Amino acid sequence: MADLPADILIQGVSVSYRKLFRPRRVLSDIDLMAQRGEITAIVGPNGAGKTTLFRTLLGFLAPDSGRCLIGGLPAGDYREQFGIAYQPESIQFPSLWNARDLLGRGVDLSRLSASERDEAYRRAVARSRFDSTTLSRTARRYSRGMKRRLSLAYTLIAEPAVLLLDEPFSGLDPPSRHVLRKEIMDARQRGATVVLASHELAEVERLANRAFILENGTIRAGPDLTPADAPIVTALESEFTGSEY
Amino acid sequence: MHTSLARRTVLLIQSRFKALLLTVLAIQITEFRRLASGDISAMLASGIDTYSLLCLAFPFIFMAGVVSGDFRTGVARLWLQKPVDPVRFYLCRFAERFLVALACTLLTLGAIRLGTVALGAPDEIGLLLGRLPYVLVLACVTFGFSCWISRGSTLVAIGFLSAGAVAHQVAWPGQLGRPWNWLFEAILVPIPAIGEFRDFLVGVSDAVWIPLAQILTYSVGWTGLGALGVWYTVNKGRLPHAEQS
Repeated sequence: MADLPADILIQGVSVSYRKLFRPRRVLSDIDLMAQRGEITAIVGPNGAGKTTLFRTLLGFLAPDSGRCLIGGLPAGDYREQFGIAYQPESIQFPSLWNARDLLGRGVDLSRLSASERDEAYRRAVARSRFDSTTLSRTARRYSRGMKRRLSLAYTLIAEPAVLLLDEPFSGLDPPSRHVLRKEIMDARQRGATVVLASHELAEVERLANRAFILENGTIRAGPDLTPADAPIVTALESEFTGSEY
Repeated sequence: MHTSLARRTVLLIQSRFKALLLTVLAIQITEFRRLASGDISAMLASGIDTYSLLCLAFPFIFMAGVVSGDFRTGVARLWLQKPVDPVRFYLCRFAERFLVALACTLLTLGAIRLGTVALGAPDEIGLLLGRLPYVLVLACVTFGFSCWISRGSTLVAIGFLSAGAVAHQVAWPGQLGRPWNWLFEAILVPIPAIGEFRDFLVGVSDAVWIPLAQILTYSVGWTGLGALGVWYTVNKGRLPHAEQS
């Protein structure tokens, strides 16, 4: 992973959803750059377009205009060649599959050599922090926090060079938050490009090197927030906490 | 392989167990009178009819949601974040499920044949083998619809088979002038070709290559259409919003 070019470049990206032939603009003219070995945060209220931005970065959503490159390749091509660790906000697992099945399948799909597979599987099981009984339980019956832990263990198999984490802290208890923070910092140290979308400004402040504020589908501020951006941040804080600062 | 083909097959059969049980029960209810009659020839005919109906049911049961289920629920994001070619990934899954449907059909065939031999009735192996093309054709059709339609694709495939059966029963395509009759015969499930293939196996016809070519071309065509559907959905930003489903 260390030598893999994984800088993310988003230039002039606009995205619309079409419902009954009526386009609805969700992202407008987004310019954003995320570099290797850095954690870039996307902060914004609900409906700002964070998840849409991630779907575009994965190549699952074609932009109306602009380009989305990872390591110089179109995002979809990069995903097919190298894989992208993506943890969505809402996590779904196949029915009846347990954690062992899921992590095993993740290892199978990760293009690892035979010698690396067992080690990758062992690491993934350790990351999930499940005991052997929990590992054998149907994953759909897990609590929200357990699903997040399993999802993180799955996405980090083979330690991809690009991590996209959508609201990674939601539903996690304090020990799990601590582990997640450590995983994110480890990924950064490995030289991965980490992009996280979060409501939790304290976590963003703690982890991120750069932060973009996304509102109504446009970048309002970032990457380096200056005193001039204080009113935007304050408004966001009061919106997220429901109180005036 | 950490999550082997055998394990995935077990999970697939477990997830379809209720549907399999209900199908067999429904068929047995309709066949109850013949089975309870005590007449050996009626019982044998009932066995062959049961097998024929299962040849139609197995591909629908095992192919249901083969692609659309993943797209609709968001599970596709789990698999496609790994370095995989989406078209190849879903073609492999199609092949796995087709083999399971075929294996179940062959097991049923074996059981019916054993019953026939045990009761000292004439061997109907040609008639039984003549039903196998339905498994291939219907698996390919269901896969094709599943790649393009995210909800109710299996019901659409069942409707498509029914429409084809009715159209061929009333010889509707034959009443149309060229090129419409060719077009409809190319689109509708090739029931006459499957019938000719069966006639060859039971020894009432010499024609085998033309019906076989028709059956294979039709199946490959639907598989190709499905592969195109996967490519279009993933690469042209048509993956449904799983979060909203």
